[in-house]
Amino acid sequence: MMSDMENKDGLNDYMSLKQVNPGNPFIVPDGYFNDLAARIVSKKNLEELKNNDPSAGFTVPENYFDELAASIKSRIALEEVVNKGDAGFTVPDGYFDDLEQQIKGRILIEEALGEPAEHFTVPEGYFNQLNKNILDKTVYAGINI
Amino acid sequence: MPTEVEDAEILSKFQDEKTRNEAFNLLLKKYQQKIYWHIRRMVIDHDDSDDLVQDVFVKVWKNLAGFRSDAQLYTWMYRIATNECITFLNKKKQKNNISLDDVAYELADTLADSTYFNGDAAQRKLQEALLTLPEKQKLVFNMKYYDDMKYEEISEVLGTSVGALKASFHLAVKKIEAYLLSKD
Repeated sequence: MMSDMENKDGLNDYMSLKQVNPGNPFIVPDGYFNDLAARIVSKKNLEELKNNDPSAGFTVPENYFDELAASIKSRIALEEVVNKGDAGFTVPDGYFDDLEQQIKGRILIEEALGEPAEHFTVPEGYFNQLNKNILDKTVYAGINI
Repeated sequence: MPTEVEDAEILSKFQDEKTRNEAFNLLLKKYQQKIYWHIRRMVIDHDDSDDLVQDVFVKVWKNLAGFRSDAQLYTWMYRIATNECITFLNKKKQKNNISLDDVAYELADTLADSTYFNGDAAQRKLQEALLTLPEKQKLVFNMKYYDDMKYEEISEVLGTSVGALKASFHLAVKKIEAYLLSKD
């Protein structure tokens, strides 16, 4: 027959359990209950703030979220193009292989055409005398040209 | 000796917006330890208990306005605390992908390592025995043995009939006794 066990006398049949100190074996850090209420109230207040204003007071420009998806997609497309490196332009096959030689050849030609005084010299006053020298050897020498 | 404030006064003050905070403070002062220890006996670890007790009272704050006086205030709070503990223990089980038995082993380890347990060997063995019980039996035992609650009150907390609770307590005590006798 099961005892009523409305109170601890019902445990008399269980000697091992009856011998255990029924006191609370758990403890808490010093002063724990002194500030628990205040911490609970703080937590409650924070929850209320969050529920009353999920944005926490921060705002965004008008239509920001409507335009955000499009802005992000444009940015992604732009970054893909930039990362490709050639921006869609192409060059003839082997172009860069010959380019250096072509540039050097062009430089030589332009130097030869446009820079007469850089490497060759003439006696001083040469060009001043040149005309007279030619005439002396031709017209004034009695030779008809 | 200062008299404890009556639940009716707390509830009345809570209904008025001007005195709601005062009511909540009175409620905390009256029940925080009771609720804390109820939780602590279930989850063992002090830090977990600290988190849960705060969660429980925030829930109490949110729902107290709708509390109907057909139940006692503290059994209503005990019910919230009990459900929070069960949810916590189930989450522990799911998070670590372990069975409820393994959760019990974890709690036993927590008990063994805890700096916030100063019971003697027999008390430690009793707590270990409790960890082997199904949650409901453990709850019934704790509320009867430590909190000295009446079966009718425990019935309000757990939503179980008084008859079933008596059977549950009897079974819990038998298992605990067997555990205490079988282990060194």
